Amino acid sequence: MLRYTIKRLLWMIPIVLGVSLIVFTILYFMPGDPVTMIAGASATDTEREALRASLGLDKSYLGQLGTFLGDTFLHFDLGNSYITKLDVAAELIYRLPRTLLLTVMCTVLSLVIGVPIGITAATHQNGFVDHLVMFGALLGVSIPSFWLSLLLVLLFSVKLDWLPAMGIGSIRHYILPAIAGSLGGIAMQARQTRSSMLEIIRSDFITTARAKGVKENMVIYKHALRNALIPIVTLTGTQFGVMLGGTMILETIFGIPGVGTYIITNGIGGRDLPIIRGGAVFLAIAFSFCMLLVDLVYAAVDPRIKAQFVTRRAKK
Amino acid sequence: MSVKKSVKRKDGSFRRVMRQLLKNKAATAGIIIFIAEIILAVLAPLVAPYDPNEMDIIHKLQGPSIQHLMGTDDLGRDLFSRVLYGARYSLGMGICATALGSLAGMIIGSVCGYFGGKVDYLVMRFLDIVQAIPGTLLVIVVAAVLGTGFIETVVALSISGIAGAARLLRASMLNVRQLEYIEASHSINCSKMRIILHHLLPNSFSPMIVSMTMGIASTIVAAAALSFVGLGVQPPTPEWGSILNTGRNFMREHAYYMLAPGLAIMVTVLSLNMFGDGLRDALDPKLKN
Amino acid sequence: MENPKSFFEINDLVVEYYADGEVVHAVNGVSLRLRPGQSLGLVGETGAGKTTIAKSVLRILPDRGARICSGGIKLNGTDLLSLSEHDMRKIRGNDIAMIFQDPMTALNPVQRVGDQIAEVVKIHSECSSLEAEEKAKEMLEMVGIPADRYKEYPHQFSGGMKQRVVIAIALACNPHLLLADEPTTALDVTIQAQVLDMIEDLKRKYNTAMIMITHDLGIVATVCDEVAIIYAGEIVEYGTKEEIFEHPSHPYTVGLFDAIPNMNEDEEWLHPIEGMPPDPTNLPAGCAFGPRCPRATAECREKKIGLNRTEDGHVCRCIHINKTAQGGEV
Repeated sequence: MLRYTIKRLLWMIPIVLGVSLIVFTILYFMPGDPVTMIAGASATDTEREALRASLGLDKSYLGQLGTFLGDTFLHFDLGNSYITKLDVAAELIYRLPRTLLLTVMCTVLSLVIGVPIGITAATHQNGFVDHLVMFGALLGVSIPSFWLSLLLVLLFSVKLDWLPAMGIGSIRHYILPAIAGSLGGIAMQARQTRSSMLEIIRSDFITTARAKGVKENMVIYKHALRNALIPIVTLTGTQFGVMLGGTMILETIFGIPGVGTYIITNGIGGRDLPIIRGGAVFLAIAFSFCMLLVDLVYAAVDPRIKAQFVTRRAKK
Repeated sequence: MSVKKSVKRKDGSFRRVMRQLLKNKAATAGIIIFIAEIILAVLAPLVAPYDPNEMDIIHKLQGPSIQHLMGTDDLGRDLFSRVLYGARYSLGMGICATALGSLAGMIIGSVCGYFGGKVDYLVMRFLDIVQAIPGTLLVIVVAAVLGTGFIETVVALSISGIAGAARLLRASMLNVRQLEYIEASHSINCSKMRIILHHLLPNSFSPMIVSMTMGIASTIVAAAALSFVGLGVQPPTPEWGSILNTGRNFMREHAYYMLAPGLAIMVTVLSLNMFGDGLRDALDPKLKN
Repeated sequence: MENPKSFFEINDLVVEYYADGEVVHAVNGVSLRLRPGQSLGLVGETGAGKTTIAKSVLRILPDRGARICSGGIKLNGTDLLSLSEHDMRKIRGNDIAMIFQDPMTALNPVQRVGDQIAEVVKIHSECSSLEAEEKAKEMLEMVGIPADRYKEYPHQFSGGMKQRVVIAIALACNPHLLLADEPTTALDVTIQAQVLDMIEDLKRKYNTAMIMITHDLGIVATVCDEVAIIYAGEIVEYGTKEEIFEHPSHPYTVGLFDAIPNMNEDEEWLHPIEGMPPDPTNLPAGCAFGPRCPRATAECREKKIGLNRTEDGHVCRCIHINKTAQGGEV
């Protein structure tokens, strides 16, 4: 298991290297000259050229790529913002806790609400509860989270004045974003749980468990759920990873200065390439860790998958 | 158990799927709503009561009324007409981007699925890398680089679907490849291209269709999200996301402004999801009864 | 079949399934009796309703779509069909246990095999987890698996070993009645004999009665005392093994025996029964076997046929037997 984990960690190096390469190349074609933006219209040509040289933008594509990759992978330095001159890695880490908090809240909510709902629907298949839950879940996956955010703000902040609409002062500031960000997740978990439970409930070993005299609750929660867990784990992991990189819209609406707003507002908005590049690399690393974690959870849940990991090692 | 499925009717699979679909009321409603929206979008110049870009400052920010079914915006333009015309952009982008992304993905996926080996390995590792970049971020970055036109936005939106479509098609082709009749085609010397076009693709299709239906829904949302962060097609183009984004500024006093485009997005996405769900159940009856 | 010493009986059991708005008549009035320690073979084709009968006894038919319409199932005088779910659970795995057809899928893939045996012990006796574990290890040894494999998972076991585990689960609480649903069909021929021998030994040791569901007359010949031939959810012939094997009377039973290739003669063709079993959503009005029966007459198509007593005393659902001496209705 340990060797498998180490192998996977090593495998992340080419992935992150690839991500860096792709993102750098795409951004190389970003229209507009950063130098003009930074220096302003009043700068002289000499000033501009000096700035260009100091940012390393006078080098060729390969030269710039080399510098970027070298800094990133050899010195673990994501560079400094063109505009604020602040260290991108430090800024990202400084903002990460807020994004992480929001992401964790959304993922946990999706899991603890979505999974039980899905189980209930599956055990009452085609009944009233099932239809109600499935219709609700369908609505849930269909409401765009940014629109839901606006509706929530309208109701709870503007009309009722219960919760703050913007900012990060207290945990109360995170309630609306967490609801807006998790509703779709809850709905997806409920749908996923229902369909994988339905498949498992039909398995022979569930009949075996019933024939042993196991209580129905235990049949569902002990025997069926654990077997239905793999797709749920996958979804949770993907949701977490996607959320981490997808909170940018929520953060923008609710004015949360997290990783997302940094990339969107400062990076894309200001054409500040080091921020976008750094953000992408940072998120790719985080995402890869998520996926590794998912695989490790697989092994913990299902001995057959664990056995695969181990035999793969034995073959090598 | 043994009795249950001993007699299974034999029937053309297309007809069986259609019958299943029509029995499913939600799916039928979904596709009817979506087709109605497309027709309305196409006929927008005939249906819309006003020119979507005609300003009327005197009558700005008026709530819904008989004259203006969804009210007017901050420049006095009729919101109903703007949402109708907006369907052209939103639906158009959703359909085009999904089609483009799926097509690219299908080509990649079928090459991988068919040839296997090194080609497959390399392409899959490349997709691993692409998928390690958060989808939203990738679309935003590409949209920022390409610019804000309709076609540029479609291309940016299509990128996020490529990897998924490629994997899906590859996986189902790998499944189908094991089947005996593919071996049979080999043994009668079918050309590789012919096998891909006539045997593998049609059989790998059903999961593709389902994922494309859902893909259109999520692309419409993504397009709106792009407008929301100031990318994608720009005002005064009446795209739903961009109407919503402007409406957001008037949310406190004029809530109706952001309701109309948001509702349009939601109804569209809902109808596509209902249809997609029904289609999946009809194509894969395993989970039914 | 009047048997005063029977401890288990099924009376006129009717089970239906509902699927896609159609009614599947799976079991249509089946009655059986068993004495303690006796073995009964239920023989019939796939889809004849054998598994449904076994699952009805334990009341583990799928919730949705399956319904026991009428009939009674009695164990030591208690009607199982009228028991509460709570009381029924005490019977399952304890008084009546079942061995399933496919060992590959019958075990929970994410639970240790030992724990799966210990679970049933724990449910039905008030013992500690440790004692349950001891008992499970004992059971493993008894079915020929070293106790130190307790902590392994099903995927580490071969098919035959998995079936041994399934048997260990079934016998862990010394049931009075064992329902064996084609326990050897999914196994290699060499393993089949081992598993059958083992079931026989254990059964004798604990004096367990058994209903052996199978389509293999060879298994019936080795294991069973009595035989019931099932066709389209009905018993068409029922008697002791000797009676049935020596004087098969129903045309279907005769057909089953004829379908076995005879190794002593140099035959060029197999002798299958012509035609297909009837559609269980649409059974014929008269004899269910009528459409395939070489002896069918107009009378067979008119009304349901009752069970008639044959010359040697077993019963048969056919009007063409005993043309000389008419047996009485049962």
